[in-house]
Amino acid sequence: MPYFMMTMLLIFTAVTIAIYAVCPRRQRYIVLLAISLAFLCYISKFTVVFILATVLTTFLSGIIMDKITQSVDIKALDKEVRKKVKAKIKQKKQIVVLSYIVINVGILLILKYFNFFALTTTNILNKFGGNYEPFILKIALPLGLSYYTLQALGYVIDVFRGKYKAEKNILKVGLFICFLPQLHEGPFGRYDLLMPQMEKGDNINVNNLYNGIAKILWGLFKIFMVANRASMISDAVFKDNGKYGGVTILLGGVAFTVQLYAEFSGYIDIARGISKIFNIELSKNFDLPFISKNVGEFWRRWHISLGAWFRDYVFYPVSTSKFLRKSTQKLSFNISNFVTITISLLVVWFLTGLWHGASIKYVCYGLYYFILMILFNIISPYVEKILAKNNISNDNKILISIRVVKTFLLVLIGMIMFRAENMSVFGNMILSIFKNGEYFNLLKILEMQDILALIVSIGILILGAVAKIKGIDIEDKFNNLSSIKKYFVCFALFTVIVVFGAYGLDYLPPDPIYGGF
Amino acid sequence: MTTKMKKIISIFLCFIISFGIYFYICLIVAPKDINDSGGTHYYRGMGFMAEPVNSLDVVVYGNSDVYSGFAPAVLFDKYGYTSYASGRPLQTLNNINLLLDKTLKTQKPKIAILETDCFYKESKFQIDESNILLSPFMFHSRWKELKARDFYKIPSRKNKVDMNKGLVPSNKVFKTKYSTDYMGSKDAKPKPMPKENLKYVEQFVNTCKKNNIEVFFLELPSASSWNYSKHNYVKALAEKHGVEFIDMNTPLDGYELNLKTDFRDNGNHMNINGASKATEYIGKYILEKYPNLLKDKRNDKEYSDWHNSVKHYNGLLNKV
Repeated sequence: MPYFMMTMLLIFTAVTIAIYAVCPRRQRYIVLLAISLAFLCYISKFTVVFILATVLTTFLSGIIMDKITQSVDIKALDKEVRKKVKAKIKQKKQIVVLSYIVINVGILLILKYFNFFALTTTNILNKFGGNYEPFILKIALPLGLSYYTLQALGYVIDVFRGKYKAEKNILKVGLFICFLPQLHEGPFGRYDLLMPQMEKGDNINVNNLYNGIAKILWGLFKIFMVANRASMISDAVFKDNGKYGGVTILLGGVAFTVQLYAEFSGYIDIARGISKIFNIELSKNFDLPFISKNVGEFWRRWHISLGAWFRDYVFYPVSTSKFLRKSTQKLSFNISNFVTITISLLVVWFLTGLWHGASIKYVCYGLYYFILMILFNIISPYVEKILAKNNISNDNKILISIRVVKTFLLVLIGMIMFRAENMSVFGNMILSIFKNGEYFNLLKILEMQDILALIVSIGILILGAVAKIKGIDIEDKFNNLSSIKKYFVCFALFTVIVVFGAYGLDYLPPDPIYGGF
Repeated sequence: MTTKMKKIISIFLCFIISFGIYFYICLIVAPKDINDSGGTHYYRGMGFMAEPVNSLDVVVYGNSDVYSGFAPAVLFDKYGYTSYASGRPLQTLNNINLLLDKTLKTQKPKIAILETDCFYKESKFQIDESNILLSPFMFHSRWKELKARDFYKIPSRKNKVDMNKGLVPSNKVFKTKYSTDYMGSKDAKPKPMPKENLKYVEQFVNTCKKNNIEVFFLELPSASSWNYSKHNYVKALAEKHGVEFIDMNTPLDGYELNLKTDFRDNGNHMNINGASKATEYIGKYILEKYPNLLKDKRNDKEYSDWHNSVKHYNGLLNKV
């Protein structure tokens, strides 16, 4: 997030707190919506119409589906008739959902992916002798397009499935979709979990206020103390990737991994902190991803809400689809199971890759994880057998360490692919790991004091992770402190960020990686 | 004492203690010397505050182009006019208005020159960088170079007279890759500046007019950042406000830019060679345009210190 937008977000939050506190409880959700919309208008300008279109279609889809469901009293019907009516109702609701997807995923495709498809198609046509100029759409993306589209889609699918009834108040649907803190980088929220908290309009109490402020500061610490400095190293390596080899490429990859984690989880902490002030608990998006023993576990700990979204709204529907069931019914149970999982994972990872960005690189990034997971599914039973034969328990610390390091290296390759300009650069960088390159002078990129600040800050992150592994809940410990102690902890964190943080003229902010999606 | 009272007192004490700590940190990180990091911002950009009251004839406002390309010592040496180069890196127009207001508190300049390169820099926040409470934000690289004196010395702009009067002299000579046609076509479509900046230009001109200060726009040579698109737009804007616009990137009588000797980098900032030539031309322009407005102070004893600045500057010039 650019400094300007981050400053505005914090200013808008302060204004929200002031208005929210003096507003009657029942109207507080309107305050949250109004400020969120004001921020959106301020940042996204006229493109705010797209998010308003999503709000309107989401609201209408829910209402129409509810009306369809309520149009017939199913319980009063015979079993046979009931079945037929149910199928008809489902069919009608499917039409609503499909129309909704066409409109909203259509907006997403046009705004985000049109240029990618136009360029790719033109390139292909020109390769076959054509001479076409690509038609490029010059339109700014509304803030959080990829996030709110999927979140809203989740709501519509849930209403379709009958998980909960449609919301009858368009303002509440609007708040669910436009809620300011989570709009920029998530996490993806679920309507049934968020709305009860949002509409309650709880008072702002001291505990939530300190907890929220501490989370915001912790997020800022990650961004300004870690991400912004690590980005200077990764930028230098990736910018001149052709020059370097061996350890330097790995250093660049590790720096980028650290940057991405610190930046993304930092923004999530800020989002969760702002929400916490209003006693709204946003879902967790990270849970010590670098202690994962395999890539599957990594994705259950990294960008958790995205993984959960694709699991619930893509993996399950695809794996239980009639088409797959029919196609695999003649196969044996094990093979049918394997084929079903493989095809479902392929769809999930293709879409996950594409969600990250409109380029071949991101599609390959998704498919890379698909291949790793399939390989894991194939190989792991054999590995388990070998381990059992040799009496090696899965709790063996050496085995766990090897698995964690292996996972980190696989993730590192993924990160290099993610950061490299294109697949060709990625290929060259991977090959360069095994070659010698030019000497990389880190001190030309960062001053010694900056390097020390980075090391100490990463050390603090690691200490936090170790404490969590050992079952020490730092958040809980903070919450149990007296108000005065909480105040001084927050003040100390604030002072450290202000004095030692990497921001301003000497440290131009890196582009927010996940904010661009 | 009631519990409520205790609570109020403890909250009050918390604020006092934390404010005290924060204020001390502000004092520590504020630059104490021109050569400290941020010193250019803190002292040179506002160095006019250290000049004797009502002693400046001309103040030039702008970004790094100003502190690289305008040499007050030359203006004094050749014409006897006292001046100050109030330039800051990436300066914005809203902050220039703040500096103008600050100038008027201690100075009554007869001429204000607004360098136009910053017209295209978006003015987002108007921040008073002289506010000591913003020091940790403004000078956040200072923690890397703190010395013992930073922990007890109080920063002060007064009595910090800058020998170079705002100029950041550079002896470096960079042969730019630009050719003399870097301005492009004369008929280039005017490139509008950010809309917000229009009101800041107007504010600057109005403040000057209200205080009887002659004002003109100036574009110092900048091969890498200036062209006819910008020139045509600023020219029209100057006409609208009824002020002159001197663009030293266009052909001028008595001034010729040398792209091989006048810059310290690839055509963005001038070295002292370029600054001397440019300032001499500006002096000639002022003399011709406002013949009776400014007095030649070279023989005025009150301004004898300026001869030291000239001497210092000439010493640097000889090293090129």
